[in-house]
Formats: sequence, C-alpha cells, structure tokens
Amino acid sequence: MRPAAQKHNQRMSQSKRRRSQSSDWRSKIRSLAVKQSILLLVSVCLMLPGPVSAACSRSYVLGSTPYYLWTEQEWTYSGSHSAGTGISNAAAGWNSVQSRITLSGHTFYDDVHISDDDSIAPLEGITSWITQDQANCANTLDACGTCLDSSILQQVRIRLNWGGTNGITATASTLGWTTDQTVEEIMSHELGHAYRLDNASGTNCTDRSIMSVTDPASCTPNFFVPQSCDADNFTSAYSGWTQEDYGSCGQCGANSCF
Amino acid sequence: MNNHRALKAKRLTHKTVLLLFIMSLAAAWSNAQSRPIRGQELPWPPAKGTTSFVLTPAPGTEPSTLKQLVDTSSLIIDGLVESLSVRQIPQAQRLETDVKFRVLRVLKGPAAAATLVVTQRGGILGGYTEQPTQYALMKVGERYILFASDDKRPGIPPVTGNLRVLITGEWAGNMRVAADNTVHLSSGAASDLRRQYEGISVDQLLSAIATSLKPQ
Repeated sequence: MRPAAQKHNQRMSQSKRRRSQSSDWRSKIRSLAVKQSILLLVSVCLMLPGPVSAACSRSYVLGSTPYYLWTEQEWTYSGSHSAGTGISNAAAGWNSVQSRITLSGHTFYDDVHISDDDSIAPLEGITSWITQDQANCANTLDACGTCLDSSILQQVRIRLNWGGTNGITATASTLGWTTDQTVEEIMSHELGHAYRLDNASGTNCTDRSIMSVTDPASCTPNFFVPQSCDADNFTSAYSGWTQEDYGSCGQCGANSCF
Repeated sequence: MNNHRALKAKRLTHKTVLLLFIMSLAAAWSNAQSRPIRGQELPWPPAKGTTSFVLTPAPGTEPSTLKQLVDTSSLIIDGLVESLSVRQIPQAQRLETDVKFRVLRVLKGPAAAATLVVTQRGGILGGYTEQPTQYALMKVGERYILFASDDKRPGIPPVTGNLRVLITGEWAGNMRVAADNTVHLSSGAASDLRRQYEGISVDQLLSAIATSLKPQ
C-alpha cells in the first residue's frame, strides 16, 4: 500500500472512531435525558393531588339534580337548638376535601337554609333543592351568560329532625355520640346532598362514605365528616361544570335580567 | 324673579330625576336577586317551578329484605289509588300528598280496611312540584302492593272514616304493579330488594309475601 493511501485510511478510521465515540456520548445523553424525564414525570404525578377515583369503588352522584353556580355559599341555621358547632365542623369538613364550592357561616346570604322540623320523623333529615326557575331572574342570563334555569340552584333547604322518632337526640343517645358529633355527621351527609350526592348504598368500611346511612356508625373508628370517596364523587358530580365568582359575574345585570 | 323661579324648577326637576333613578336602582336590585338574602324569605309555595328533595333515613331503619318489610309493617295491602289530596305544611315550607287507596285485598292487618290514606312527602300544587328523588309520586288509577304502618306523627290531621298510614321505609314499601302485572320498586329501595323483586310478576311477589308471613 502506498504511504498516501495508508495515511488516508488511518485518518478515516480515526474519524470513524471519533464519530462512534461521539455517537456513544449522544446516545448516553439521550438515554439519561429520557430517564430524567420519566423520573420528573413520576415525581410530578406523585406530587399532584390526583383523583381518588382509582381507590374508590362507590358511585353515588344524583344525575338529575341542579348545580351550584357560584364558588362561595353561605349557610344559616334558623332553629332553636345549639347546632352551630356541628354545622361549622361539617362545612369545614367539606371545604377540606374540595375547594370548588366553599361553605361559610352566614354574613349576608341565605344559600343553605337549615331549620328544625320534627314532623319529618321517622327520617333524620330532608334536603331540598330550590332552583332558579322559581327566582326573580328565572330563565334569564346572568352577567357571565349562564341561563338561570332549573339546572341551577337558588337555595338549598335542610330540615333536621331533633326530637321526633329517630331524631338527633335519639340518634345521639343510641350511638353514644355527643349532640355536636351527631349534628356534624348528619349535616355532613345533608351538605353532601346539597352537592348533588345521593345516599351511598350499604356499608363499606374500605371505601367509607359520609353519604352512607350506616358507614359512620358502623366503621371503626366512627367518623363525622366527608371521606376521600365523597371528594371523588363530588368531583364526578361537578365534572364539566364551571363555577363563577358571584362578586364579579354572578349577579343579574339590568341588561341581562330585564 | 322669573330667573329665580326657573332655577328653583330646574333644581326640583334634578332632585326628582335623581330620586326616581335611586328608586329604580333599588327596585332593580331587589328584583334582580338570584341569590336569597337572610331575612327575606323566598315566597312559598311558589307559583311555578320544581323543587326536588332527598330523604335521609336513620341508621338501621331502611328495610333491605322482604322479610324485614313484612315484619315491620302492621298492614300489607293490594290496592288502587283512588284520589290525591295535597296538604301544605307552611311552617316547614313543604308539601305532603294524602293518597286515598281502595283496598283490593288485605295481606296483613285488619281485614275490614276498605279504604285507607297513605302519606307521601312531596306533591303537585298548581304549577309547582315538590319532587322526591328516591320514589315517584303516586298517580290516580295506579295499583300498588303497599307495606305500611299507622301514621302516629304528632299534629297530623285525621282523615274521617279512613285509616291513616305511612309507607314502611318511606319508599321501600310501595311496589307498583304495572299493567302487565310486573312489580316495580322505587329507585331508592335497597339494592338487595331491587335485585330480587324488580320486574317479577305480582303473583310471584304475593307468594313471596305469603311465605314471609308464615311463622318460622
């Protein structure tokens, strides 16, 4: 072989080696980047407060009931019993498992009206949904363009049986709960109805729910506030719905309402 | 002088316009409420619209088997809905419907009962409906196998010449018999009850009730 050709071959093989080394590095970097991306994705997924649906086997959304339109709702109690602590705890319980529609004690509005009604015995409670089709702005658009019809809530009324058969007094005595705990448990359940949830059937202490009539007293330990299954069903109930901030776009404007 | 009068008139006009403007704003505000304010009760019953509601039974009071339904009912009948009468309970702002039944046969209880009145919570009053989510409001002409007990609620108005009863388990104890003689349970009935008895023939149900009535 001639020296020139030898030199050429050497140069070629050096260049090949360099290229192969560089390609090795590139593939190493690429594989590292992929690994890092996967790692990042997994950590992000772990950090996210993901839906509890994977864990919850129970579904109890009331399909035909109206929705809350506004992000903040106020409750008032007009009865004669000492119910404030139980109701506040129940509202706080719901606020801790979801932040979409928050409940707070009365300042001005009467969105969730709670009263005594022993004539509902032998039931513990009744929750009614009063819709916008009965209101002054019935079937008109609010300032955000949502039609205030029968699909939108105007007010929720909750009636509690205190002294009648199976009322709060009797239930507290039967279960060995305090009155505050009993009110908290019943109100957590009724507020769940306000949020479009149905009664969860049967007893299931693995996927326990405040919407079950029997879980709270049957499961150990007893519980009085919404659980992860309830949060999951709330998410399902409001899936595809957008809530509005009443202060900025909830009120009927003169042009939209009249 | 004339100028002074004109100025006065102008001022008066301005004041009147301002007053009218404020009044119309206030009226618009009060009319435009789509959110209830405490102390300003919503009119009840409203002239139109639908209010739906859900009932919460106390733990352990909801029958989940036919045997429980039979045992906890003092009266079981096969009957036809003859008439409906809606009662307002103004202090609680809700409706109840008194449903008068013509008894076709008594399966358990006083055999002499020819008619009875059963109360359902909810009802239709003019253009306004209070609609339960766990059961259907009964209609005239419908046939039911009814599991019931005496209505002992305080303050409930008596019905002359008729037995007044409440449905056992509120919605569990009203089983509608369709024209094809199949049995249909309320949507809120316990899943075990629905699984066993929804869609069976009325004869099958009557036979199951007869079996449950036999002393064990």
